[in-house]
Amino acid sequence: MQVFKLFMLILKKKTKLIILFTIAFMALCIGFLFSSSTDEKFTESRLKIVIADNDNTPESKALIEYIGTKHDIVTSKMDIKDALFFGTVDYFLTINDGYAKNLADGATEGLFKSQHVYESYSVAYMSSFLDEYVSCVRACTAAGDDMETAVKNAAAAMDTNTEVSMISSEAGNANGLESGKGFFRYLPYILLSLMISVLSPVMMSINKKEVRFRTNCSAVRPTSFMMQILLGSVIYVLAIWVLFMVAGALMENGAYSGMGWLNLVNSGIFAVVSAFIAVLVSMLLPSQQTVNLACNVISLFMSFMCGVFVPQAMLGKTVISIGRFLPAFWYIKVSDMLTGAQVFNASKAAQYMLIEAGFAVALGIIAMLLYKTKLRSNEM
Amino acid sequence: MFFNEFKYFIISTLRAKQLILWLILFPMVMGILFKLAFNGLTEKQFSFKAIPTAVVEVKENSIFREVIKGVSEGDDPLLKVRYTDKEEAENLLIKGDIEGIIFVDDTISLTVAGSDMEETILKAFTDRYLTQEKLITDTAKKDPTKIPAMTKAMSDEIKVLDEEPIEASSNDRYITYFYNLLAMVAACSSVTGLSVVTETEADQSPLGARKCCSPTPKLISTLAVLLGSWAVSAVCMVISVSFLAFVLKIGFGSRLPLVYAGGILGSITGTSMGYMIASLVKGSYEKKNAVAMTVSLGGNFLSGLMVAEIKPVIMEKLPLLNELNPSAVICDSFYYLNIDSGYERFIGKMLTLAAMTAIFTAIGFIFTRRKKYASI
Repeated sequence: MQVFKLFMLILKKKTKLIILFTIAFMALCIGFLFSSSTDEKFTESRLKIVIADNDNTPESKALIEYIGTKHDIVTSKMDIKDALFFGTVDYFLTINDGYAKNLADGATEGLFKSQHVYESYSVAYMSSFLDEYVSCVRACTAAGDDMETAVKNAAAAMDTNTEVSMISSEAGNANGLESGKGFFRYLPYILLSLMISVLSPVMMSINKKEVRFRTNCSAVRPTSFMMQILLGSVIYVLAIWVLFMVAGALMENGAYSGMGWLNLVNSGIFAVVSAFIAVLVSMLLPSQQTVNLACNVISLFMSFMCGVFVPQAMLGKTVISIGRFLPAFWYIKVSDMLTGAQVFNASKAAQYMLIEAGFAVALGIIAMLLYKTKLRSNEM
Repeated sequence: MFFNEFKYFIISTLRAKQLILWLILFPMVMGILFKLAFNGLTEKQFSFKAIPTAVVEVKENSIFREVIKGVSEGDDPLLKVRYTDKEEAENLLIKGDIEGIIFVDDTISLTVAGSDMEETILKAFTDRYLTQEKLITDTAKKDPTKIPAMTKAMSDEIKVLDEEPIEASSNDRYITYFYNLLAMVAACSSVTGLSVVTETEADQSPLGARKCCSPTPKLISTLAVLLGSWAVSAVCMVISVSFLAFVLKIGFGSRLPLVYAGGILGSITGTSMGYMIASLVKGSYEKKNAVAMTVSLGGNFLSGLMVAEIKPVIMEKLPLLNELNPSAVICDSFYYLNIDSGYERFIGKMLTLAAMTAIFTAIGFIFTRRKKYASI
């Protein structure tokens, strides 16, 4: 088992890198987990609104108080333009001077001023909200209320709530646009990074011309040589997969409950695909110095093209067309079903995982052919 | 002598393929990826479009039908409505073809599949209808003569809001990824800055040893290498900005020359940072390189290259860190060119970069001067 020992010896030198990647990924995942939510009950979106009250009257204060019950009134330490651009504030509302007087006189034009960067849903929502509020106050005054009562009655009337229910699919709620959040969505990026940055240099060291020539003239049979490398690779892939599956269980409550156990299969297949990609990279690259670059390019390319970083539903047609030819695309398809971003369909999930497995087989065959070709060309 | 050293430094740097890969090819590949992934994403994510909705009429309600007609027609419709039965509506909702189902029975109710802004707007719409219904019912009980006046007040077209959109060269939220990419090129220029020490110090390389015993004054030799590394990184930056602006057509607006200026100054700052790091970190080139890459990529992480959401958090919670992080300062300078009509904040960032360059270079000079070697 000399080759296996050598494999493990080189692998040991990469321990720091593995720890670094794992810690960085966990830190990122903790951030992502805080932003994820499970939608079992409908909750209205609350906007972060900055309000400038230039009128400063009981009527304007009543409006601010009412807005505060529906949204979050915030103050921004950043310049308001920057806050709107980066989305820390959704809406900037100015209650113009003379608001109360104009409202009492029935003049509605230009009661408010708003600033926004994007013509977004938030802007449309707030515009409609303010229209509704003023309409209600006007209706109450038309019904004979004085201004103070009208403001109160309008707020009370606007508290009327429609009964809202959530629809459920087999694996949770399906929302056409959002992709699944959480640990398993970002896993392809880290698996690819860990496989290429660790496994490729190890393979390159073992397959270095001088080392292989030395091995070839030793008593180790080529089949045994291959099997020992394979064993080392399998142990590494298995160890990384188990490590992340345990981390997944710790970070996501009930990650493997219900249909969640498919996360194990899905990520297992992808770990094998990543390992074969790493083997191919080790055969195609001229030197170890370029491994980091190749690792970054491949992992980021696949992540961006397949919906790891940006939800698949938001990707353009061209990107989706390219993504179909990459294994991570099918991984994300299954992952989206399991997180409820897409409707769960058992036969489709199985079909997608078979496509992933097909990629693993194809990459394995290519790696084998390439290895034999390289071996022969060196023997010549 | 100065020009001789300057010329040969540039020639030898251009022959190092790794530098070309990291400072020119890698940003190009990343730029293409960002372009493919983020193209049109802001519009898809933020732009308001009529919300696809199904209406299931369990009981006929002609007033509600009129209201629905009102909000689903015209130039700027709120809803894109289709009337259907319950089963089909639920199928459409599960598939994600619609955002919600409005059930018209004795009262109005809603079924949705999530809690996003679209669903909230749908609820606000049905709430508004129910509110108006409640106001009319309450008034009818109290004083029915007031109903016409009240209905008129509610149905009048009003415009309470003056909208003032903020004008920017680009309203693309994801353009910050491209700013960060350029900041990464600048920060990674620190690797070329390492050469200022490794090629002039006797204990760092055979070339350094050769230079130390040559008659050329140390200051001339160091200045030649420093200016050479500034020039190389500035050229890399110019190529990166040109690629983004002219090949990928990233919207830098009408102030492109200033984007070049900001990028070049940023790359000079990055190179000087590398010089400072190399002078402060004792040991091999690999050790200095590891520290330079960690500092550069750490700075890029904090300015939002990997996770864009981190940038506003740091701007708000730790503004000082944002002011001191060279990557964030470079990124901000591009952002201010985009969002501001004036130049005040951009000039402020340029001055910060110039000051950083001066400080980094001064520290580099202080820690590399007058060195004596007992042995190399």
